[in-house]
Order: sequence, then structure tokens, then C-alpha cells
Amino acid sequence: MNIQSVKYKPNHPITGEPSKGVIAIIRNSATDEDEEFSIPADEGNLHYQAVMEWVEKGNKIADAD
Amino acid sequence: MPLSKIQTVDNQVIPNLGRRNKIINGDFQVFQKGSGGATAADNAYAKTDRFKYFISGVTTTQDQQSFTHGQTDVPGEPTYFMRNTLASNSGSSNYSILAQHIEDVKTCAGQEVTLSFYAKSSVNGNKVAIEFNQSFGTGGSNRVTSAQTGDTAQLVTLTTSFARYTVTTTIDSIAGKTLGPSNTSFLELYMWMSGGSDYSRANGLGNQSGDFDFADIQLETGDVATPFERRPFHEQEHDCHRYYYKRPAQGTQEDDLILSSDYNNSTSNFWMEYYYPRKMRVRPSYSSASGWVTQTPQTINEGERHVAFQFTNGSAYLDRSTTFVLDANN
Repeated sequence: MNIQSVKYKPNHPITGEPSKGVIAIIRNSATDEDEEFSIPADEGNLHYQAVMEWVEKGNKIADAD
Repeated sequence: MPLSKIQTVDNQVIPNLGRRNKIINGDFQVFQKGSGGATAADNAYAKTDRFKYFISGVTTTQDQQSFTHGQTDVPGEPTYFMRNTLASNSGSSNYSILAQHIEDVKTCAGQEVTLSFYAKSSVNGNKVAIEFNQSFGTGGSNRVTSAQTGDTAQLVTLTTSFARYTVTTTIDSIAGKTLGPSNTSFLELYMWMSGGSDYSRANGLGNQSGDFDFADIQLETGDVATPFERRPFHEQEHDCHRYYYKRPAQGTQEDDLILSSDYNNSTSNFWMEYYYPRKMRVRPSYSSASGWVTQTPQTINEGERHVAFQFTNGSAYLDRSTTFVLDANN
């Protein structure tokens, strides 16, 4: 997956706890268009796996808005 | 009745036993992303549910083709076949593979299996290499490629007319392997359509181009290819929803699903729960949303059974034009 940028989801609106989930902008290699994905912190989720690989390459997840 | 009687194909008992096919959407009835052609991307799904591509250096397009009613090339009145068009390629590292990930690596492990499918190509003599791989899931053993008899793919040679092809092999045992959660492991079917000389596992397939048409793909245990198990659309769609769900735009007022935000703990925190048609494989990603009324969700918490949307006002809702995608593909 061609990940363009990643940031954490906002803190939980009720509990205020930081989210481990992320919002990623991923470029569709077939259409060459960027798409936004809301991604849960689930190790079995393919998008989350791609984000973790992206982080292992030295990229950084930005803080939540 | 002795077991041998119900295991015989000729007496027409086996063909009436259901759930033989390990492949989901083997007759390409379900394409939630919409009909029509699409350029396939590497490690991604195109338009047909459950079929994934692995591609390097080979422009590959997928198209949903319709059979003519009453045709006899492929029996049982299938509605569709899948056309994959591969552009010319010549690099030793080039490949184009049509794949399906069959959830849970225990599937068919240590068992003899038979893959059957109808196929034809625009180029007489084009081949398809059939390979099975095993992926052991999160925290599990390393992936095993060519996890089958002889540790190499099997080749079938196509003509320009539809014919049924069968490949029988034995899937590797998983004895001694460490398995991750079953919903993250899988048996993987690879149908190599092109594979340069770097890939000996493709059994000398080589670089190929042209149309590769497939219909009625079935994987079952045993050494016999039984007639294709044609399940109703709604059953196959239900199976596909475990991996991918697109909330479709509905057509009429009666199809409207109007949900007011159903919980609030302050004047700026309103929550709405949306239940999926079925429990998904893992917590899905949410994307491709459009048509929310008055406000798009400010926070999205995806679960395996439902998603919770948070809004800052209480007037947001879904109507017939609201669509979004939940992706739990493997």
C-alpha cells in the first residue's frame, strides 16, 4: 500500500483516552487517487499491518488533530 | 449405508452434498465494488469480491463478463465469468497472479485436494500455474510457499475455448507449526497467469499476456472434481460480507434507513451504532464515505460486529444516499 500520511484518531470523546487507531491517507495505485481510511488498531487488519510496516521503515504517526 | 456409497460421484449423491467448495464467490456473482472493468493493483482486490491480485510489472485489468443464457460451454447456467487481460511483459521478475485467501490455515492441511475451474485464453497454449501457500497468522510460523506435492506449482494449458481443468495435489501438513489466531491465518490459492524466470516455484510458466478467462472455480477435498456447487447469490454475498461490506446507495424512499444519533452525554457528543450484516473477520477499516446528512462522523470506532459513529450535533443521520465501505479483507 502506498501510504501518504498517518495520524492518530482523536481521543475518545467521552473517556478522553488516546486512540490507538489511526487515520491514513493511502494512494490507490490503480486510480492514482488518495483515499482516507479510518483504521482500527487490530493486528489482523491489512491496513493496520501496512501502517505498522510503514512505521518500521522510520515513518512517524502524527498526533491527532 | 456403507460410506463408499455416498462417496461415489456416479450415483449422484456427492453432488447434492453442500458446502464442498472452499472458494468463496467462485462463480463471481458478488462484486460489491460495482460491475465493469478495473485495473488491478498489487496486493489488492479489484472489483470481484474475495479475489486478490499480486502483480509486478504486468498491467492487469479485470472485467466481469456475462455468459449468454443457454450456452453450453460451461454447464449450470453461470451468470458471469472473469476476464483478466495481461499486457505484454518480458521481465524475469514480472508476475501477475489471481489469488484467494481461504481463512484458517487448517483448511485442507495435510489433505488431498482437487481444484477445478473452467478457463480459456485469447492465446492458444497459454498456461496457468496452480500453487498453494500457507500463512500462519499473526505471531505464527513463517509463510510456506508451494505447500503442496512436489513443492512446486502445477501447470495447465489453456485453449481458446472454455474447458474444465482439474489439479489434484496434497496440501502440506501443519504439524509442528505455530498458529496465530485462525482469523488471521489462511490457505492461499495462487493462479499464476504470468511469472518470469525468477520464479521457479511457478514451474517454468514464463511471461505471458492476453486474456485469461475463468469460471466456476472450486476447491474441495479428495481426488475428484465434483460438479460446481452453485450456491444462491444471497448466501455468497453473506459469506463475502465477512470480509468486505459496502453499504449501497438505496433506490427508493422505502429503502431509507434513517437513524438519529441515539446517545449523547453532552450537547456535543452524539453517538450512532451501525450493525454490519454479519460479524466481520477482524475490525474493519472504514473508507469511501459519502452522503451523510448534516454532518460526517467526527470519530469512528470500528468493531467486529458494529461501528460507532460520533457526531457533534444530534441531527446527523443516514439516508438512501449514504454509502461507505468496511474492509476486513485478508
